Amino acid sequence: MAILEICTIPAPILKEIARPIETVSPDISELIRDMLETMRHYTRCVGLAAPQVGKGIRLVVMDISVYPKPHPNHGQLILINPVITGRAGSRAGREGCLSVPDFTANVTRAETVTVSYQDATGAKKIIDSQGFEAVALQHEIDHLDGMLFLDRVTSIKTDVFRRKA
Amino acid sequence: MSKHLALSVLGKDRPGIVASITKDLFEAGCNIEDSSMTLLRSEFAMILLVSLGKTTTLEGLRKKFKALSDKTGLSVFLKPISNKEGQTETSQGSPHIIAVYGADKPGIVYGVSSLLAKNRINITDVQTTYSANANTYTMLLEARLPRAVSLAAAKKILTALGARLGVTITIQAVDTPQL
Repeated sequence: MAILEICTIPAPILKEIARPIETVSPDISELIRDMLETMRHYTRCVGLAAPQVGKGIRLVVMDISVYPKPHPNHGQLILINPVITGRAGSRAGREGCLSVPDFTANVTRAETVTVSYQDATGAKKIIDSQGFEAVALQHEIDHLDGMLFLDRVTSIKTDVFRRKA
Repeated sequence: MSKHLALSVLGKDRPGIVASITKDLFEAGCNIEDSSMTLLRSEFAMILLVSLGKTTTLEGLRKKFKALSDKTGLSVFLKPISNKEGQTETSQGSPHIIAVYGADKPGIVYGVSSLLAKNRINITDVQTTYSANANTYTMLLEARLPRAVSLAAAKKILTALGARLGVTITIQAVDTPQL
């Protein structure tokens, strides 16, 4: 187990499209454990994508249940090769990112998403998610496609805040 | 000598204001570390925090900006600041957003800001807009609540002020997940 180093902008890996994972090798299993530990190490951190720790593969870990404010959630999620297969509605919310220090922004995302993925054993899964968890899923899956929340901001005047804490 | 400089610029809007200011800064070896620039109707305003290069002199910069000011009519104000000030965010407390809106009349900004000041709540950002069609004034503030002031207490005094001023005032804590 280890707390991994976080890549921050302008690290090129954050703008690259991550590779699909073919088999859940022992290395991948170890990376999953380390990413979970890293996610839990940071306050208010509820999701982490592999490119944020320098690995260009399609892997996300999440856990909305630990967030100070309660939101409907699926508990700890390990998502391998996640794909958003359905989305509906829209909501704006403030997002921060370990890879984009000093800024937060209001980003408009779908209110609900359907995500298909493989779990840590490689088994195929589908979940319907809503609200805050759905937003976090969209943010993390964006990381796998080289997208940061800064790429989704539409108005500086109302959307971007310099983090002051 | 100070290694940082705060700089403000105000002038009638036209293309090229940012370029003319940043050209002088660049040529003097300065690095722009932080800035806020915006257009209010016909006036363009810039606030910049710059670090000075090894060879930059304050006198040299003053001369450059004096010449620019004489030529273009831009108002340029330079303020040397200490290294420590230039590198630290001085505002303490937890960030909150305060929204104020209602029929426009003189005294809204003063009423809200003086109440915040009295309670040691520090304003870090303000945006206001006026909609002539709806005669509605909107103000969004980002402010830091000191430990001594709870969100519930701030809500109470702001709601009471809103009732006195005839405007709606809401406050909420900034809730930012790390993703």
